[in-house]
Amino acid sequence: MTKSIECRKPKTHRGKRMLAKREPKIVELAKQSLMLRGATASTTSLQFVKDLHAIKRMQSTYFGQRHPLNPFEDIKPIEELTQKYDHSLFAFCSHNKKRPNNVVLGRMFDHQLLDMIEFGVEQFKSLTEIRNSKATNLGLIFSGDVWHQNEEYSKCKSLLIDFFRGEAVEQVRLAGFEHALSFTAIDGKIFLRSYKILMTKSGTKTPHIELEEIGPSADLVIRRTKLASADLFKRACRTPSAAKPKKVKNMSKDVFGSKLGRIHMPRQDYRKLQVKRGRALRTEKSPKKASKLSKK
Amino acid sequence: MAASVVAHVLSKAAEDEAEKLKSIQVDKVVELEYDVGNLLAYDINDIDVNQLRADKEAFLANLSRDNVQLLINQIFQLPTLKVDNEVVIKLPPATTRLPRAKPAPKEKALSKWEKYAKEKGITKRKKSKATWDEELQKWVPRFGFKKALAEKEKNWVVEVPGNAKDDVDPIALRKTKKLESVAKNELQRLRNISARMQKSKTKAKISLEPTERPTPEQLNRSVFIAHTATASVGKFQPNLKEQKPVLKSGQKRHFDPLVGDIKKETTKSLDILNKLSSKKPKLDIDKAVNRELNQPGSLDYKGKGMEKKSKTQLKKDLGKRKHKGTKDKKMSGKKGGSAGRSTVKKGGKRTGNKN
Repeated sequence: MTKSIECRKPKTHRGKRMLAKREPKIVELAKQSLMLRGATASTTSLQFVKDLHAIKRMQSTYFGQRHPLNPFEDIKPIEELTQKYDHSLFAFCSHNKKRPNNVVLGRMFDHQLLDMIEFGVEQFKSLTEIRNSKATNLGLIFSGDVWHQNEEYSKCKSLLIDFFRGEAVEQVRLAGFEHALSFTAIDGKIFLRSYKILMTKSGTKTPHIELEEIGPSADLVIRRTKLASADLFKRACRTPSAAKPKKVKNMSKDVFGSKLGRIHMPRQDYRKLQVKRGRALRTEKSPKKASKLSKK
Repeated sequence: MAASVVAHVLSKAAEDEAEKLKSIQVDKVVELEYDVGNLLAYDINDIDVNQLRADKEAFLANLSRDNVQLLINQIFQLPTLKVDNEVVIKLPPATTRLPRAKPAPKEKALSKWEKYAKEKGITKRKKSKATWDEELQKWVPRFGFKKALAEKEKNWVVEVPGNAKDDVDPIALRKTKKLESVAKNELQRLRNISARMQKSKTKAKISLEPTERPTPEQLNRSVFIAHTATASVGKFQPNLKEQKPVLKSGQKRHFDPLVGDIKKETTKSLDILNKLSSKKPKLDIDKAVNRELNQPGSLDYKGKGMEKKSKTQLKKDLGKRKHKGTKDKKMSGKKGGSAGRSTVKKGGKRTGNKN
């Protein structure tokens, strides 16, 4: 990937900018997701993917053409698509007799498939309200002990977090935090529910919460999976040393909050000490040497 | 009398306070795990399946409410700011480790010129965009189509030296000279890129087949193997005189966890059993491909610049050969399943992506 980008010399300034934008960064921006409609998509699976697109909005592109693809048989075309449009997440919907209402969620690392999970969508209810809401940040709730007991589920959790977390922000508007997605794993299913958060007065600083279901809601069943090898996953998770916070040495804070520093001083070299020396102490050149030098 | 009133008022106030707290308090056996930077909460507590089955929607809504309440409690403890008349909460950095979209950027290796310039201390000077042309009496840009036009205007006639041959075309000569310099520049650019690539090449499997000119990596690998080929895995092997310490090479082995997925383990063992008991001849495609590639007589033998067949193509060919006898019959016998249908389609068309 990097190879092709580097060998290709941009012809225009705009192209140059675009390539620079795509180059790997130390601190990455939010992952963009590609929503693909499969050739055989049913209304349910298609609407599910469209709903995901609506939730993600700013970080998503929806391709509504019928793509005759099958990610579990040949991932290459999807890899190419994600490379072309510089996306790193994808959702793909399809439907057939063996796997009705099928949705595949996956993510890429360096435009190569990292992992993908296939879900069956059951009892789907589309979203109703979210289009008008001003929610910017999604709260994510995972419940159930399966999420950390089963490897498939734990990877699935990681994928779902990656899919829905949005942009990494430092500050969040309190009023903007009004949408929560809940994933409850139990009974061999993942119950996806989506709620609007209503804050009511509790008398304390923290409000009392009421939820109102807004959709999309679905019961997801994990079907096929293709998970990354431990080696690759580890490589993908590696944070560059430049992004790590620098260790602050010899600094501390005391109880009152004032900063304390420790200084290490080497032993002073007294020979280099500049002091006034008398003429008697100065070393003078011997007369022989001096005469030799003058001859030369 | 007064004392009892006071006590009553106080107790009522305490009760009120408790009531208020109650509305935001949620009791959990195990505390939730939070990643407030991602606005995420994870409830590890066991869920009662019977309760879920009795009334699914109400149960899920209740569970989610409790968890959202807990998350909100966490968030509201964080310091707040006021930005443009909006209350804003400062989030801590996210703690969940998630894979990156692309590998971390590597420091760009210096090109040949950049290296030289650095050695000599040559720094870039800012140049003006245009220069004054005495001949044309106007400002001409340093590069671009206007510069080319100006050159054309100036050099409408070319002087031919007296001793030149008759068939020399000075204008064509000038053109080829320009083309050559452009080509040279491009070549240098590509050379720099390839040098950079060579440096950042990922560790591939090093073959130890005897070659005419072994690479340093190959040599290192063979020295390493020789060094460690003792009963104590080279622990007490002394180094030769003036020998550099042997670098560890080769790939790390990965082992599956001892306890974990039982299903995976059983399928793995069953696979081995099947392989052993099947009468089909075994074919290790990777091995076969490597053998074919490294054979002196093969098309892809390194060092002979003949027509190349890629590794993947070879694999495919070998795979086809393998399936011919056994699998095709099975496939044709199968009723038209969905998977089979899609493979038929795949051959004809490529992905449409003009969106």
